[in-house]
Amino acid sequence: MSPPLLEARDVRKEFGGVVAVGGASLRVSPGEIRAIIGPNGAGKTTLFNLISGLLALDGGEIRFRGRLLNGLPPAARAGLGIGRTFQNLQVFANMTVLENVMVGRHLKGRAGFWGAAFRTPRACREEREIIDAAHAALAFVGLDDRSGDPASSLPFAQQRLLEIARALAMEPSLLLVDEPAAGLNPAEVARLSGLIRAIRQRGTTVLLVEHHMDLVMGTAESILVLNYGQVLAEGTPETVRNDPAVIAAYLGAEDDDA
Amino acid sequence: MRPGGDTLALAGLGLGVALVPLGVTSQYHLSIGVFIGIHAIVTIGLCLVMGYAGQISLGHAAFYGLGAYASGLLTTKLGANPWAAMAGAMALTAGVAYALGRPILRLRGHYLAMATLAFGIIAYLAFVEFKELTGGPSGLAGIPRLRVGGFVFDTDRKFFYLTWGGVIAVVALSLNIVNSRVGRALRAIHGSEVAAETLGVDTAAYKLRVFTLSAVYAALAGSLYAHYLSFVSPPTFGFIASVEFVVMAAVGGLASVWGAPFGAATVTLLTEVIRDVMPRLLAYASGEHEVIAYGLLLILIMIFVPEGLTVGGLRALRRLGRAGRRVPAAP
Repeated sequence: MSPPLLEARDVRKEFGGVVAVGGASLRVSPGEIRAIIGPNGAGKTTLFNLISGLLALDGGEIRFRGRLLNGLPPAARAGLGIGRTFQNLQVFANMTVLENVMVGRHLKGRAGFWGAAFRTPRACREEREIIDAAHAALAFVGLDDRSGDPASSLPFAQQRLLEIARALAMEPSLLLVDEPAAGLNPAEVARLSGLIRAIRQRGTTVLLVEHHMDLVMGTAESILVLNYGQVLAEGTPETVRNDPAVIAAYLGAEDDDA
Repeated sequence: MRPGGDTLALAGLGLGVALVPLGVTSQYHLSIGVFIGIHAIVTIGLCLVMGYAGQISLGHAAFYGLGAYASGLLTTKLGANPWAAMAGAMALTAGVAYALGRPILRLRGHYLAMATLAFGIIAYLAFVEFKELTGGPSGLAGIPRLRVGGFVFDTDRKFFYLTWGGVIAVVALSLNIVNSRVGRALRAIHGSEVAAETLGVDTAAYKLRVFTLSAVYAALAGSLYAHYLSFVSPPTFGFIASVEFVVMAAVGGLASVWGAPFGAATVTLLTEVIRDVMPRLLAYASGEHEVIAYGLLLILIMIFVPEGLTVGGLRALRRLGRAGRRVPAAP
């Protein structure tokens, strides 16, 4: 077994006594597409927030390439190669589509206030590289024709793609995608599935939180099922689909003691 | 966003600055021009903090005052060269802003506003109370003029050119910053701090740096003020001045470097008009009534043109232009 890219061990998070994630563990190998599913409130987005550092752990540990992430701020985790998108879109509405993706290129640049203010040759060269890379990322998700438009003018589905392009501009080794299919029509979901596979093809490991079962079953190689903040089941789509505990959690069973 | 347009506009501003003193000969009017320039420099910094990074400061007059007093004290008490004093004042203010910003920029929204407000009040009281150093309420006099060799900036006209040269430099540098990796990081913080963080933007560091930069601009303006009037006293740097700068920034358009000079001009001229007119309307009116006008102005701007007069005005012009073009096309 290859060393995991991401490893979460016994991760815990509570909000004022309510357990959102109660001792979940997870190993993600490099190059896989892993889906995390589970009923609403199962702790999926909380887990993402713990991995990307927007929330602090109450217990357990998270390692990325063997390095302990506990206590690292989100920006530092981005620097290590963890990118993400948001379920509640966080597009920079005050910027153009291209500028949004250019922010995603932030870590690849070095120009500071001084270089920017005096337009040093190095800063100018870097700026051109940022623009080229941003266009490439937009072309990858099929949005390059909208690059000059205000980001807020994009329809919902395209804002989701914009968030993916923005995160990809970082060239992350791990991409966390939070409910990308929410609000998309079937044709858009099919395209999204192809896009996620293409992202993995580029060498980026994908961790996907999603409710849309067609997307999950058709895209992910392995699935982790969370319920009440704990791992309920784990395995291939086939195993998970036939797991009685999963079926019970989704359809409701008599021994459901919540 | 449109570097070409910005270069053209800068050239236009330069030409305007060169021509104004040829047409305007009254000392009084030129001195208003100097003050507009000084206010514009502070306002540009405030626009970077408020409009681009999305943070608020109700205490910028303190940095303005720090620059003025530091310049005044370094020259009068230590006999420093005025230019060296100006550089020293900017460096000192940068240090203060950095040390202050580190703890308070963790605060958000109203809390940050309160903290900057409190800092402004403390600085004002320091200017008033450290009498041995600052001269207290009676002010600090005898600040020497700026000079280059035998050339002394001793007339309103010369100082007008100096100040507006400074404005053009500050506008140019700020535009470069805004249209760069740094500017995008700042706007990203304003757009979504959470997303900016997850893209690797060290939001705390950027907020601190832009806050410090804006304080340095304010110190430059304060130093110019001190060497222009050769006298400083506390009321120039009080709470009302901080509010004035915020109003200037809002009037010009918070997220627009170009708006700052217009906002500074509008509010400075308005203040002059009010000072002129109000005592005639209300016999008992004293010095504080400008505040009422600022308040009204701010409310009206926020309701009707929240993007500020420059952006709002340009949009209205464009709409008019489009409407004008449509009319002949109608059958």
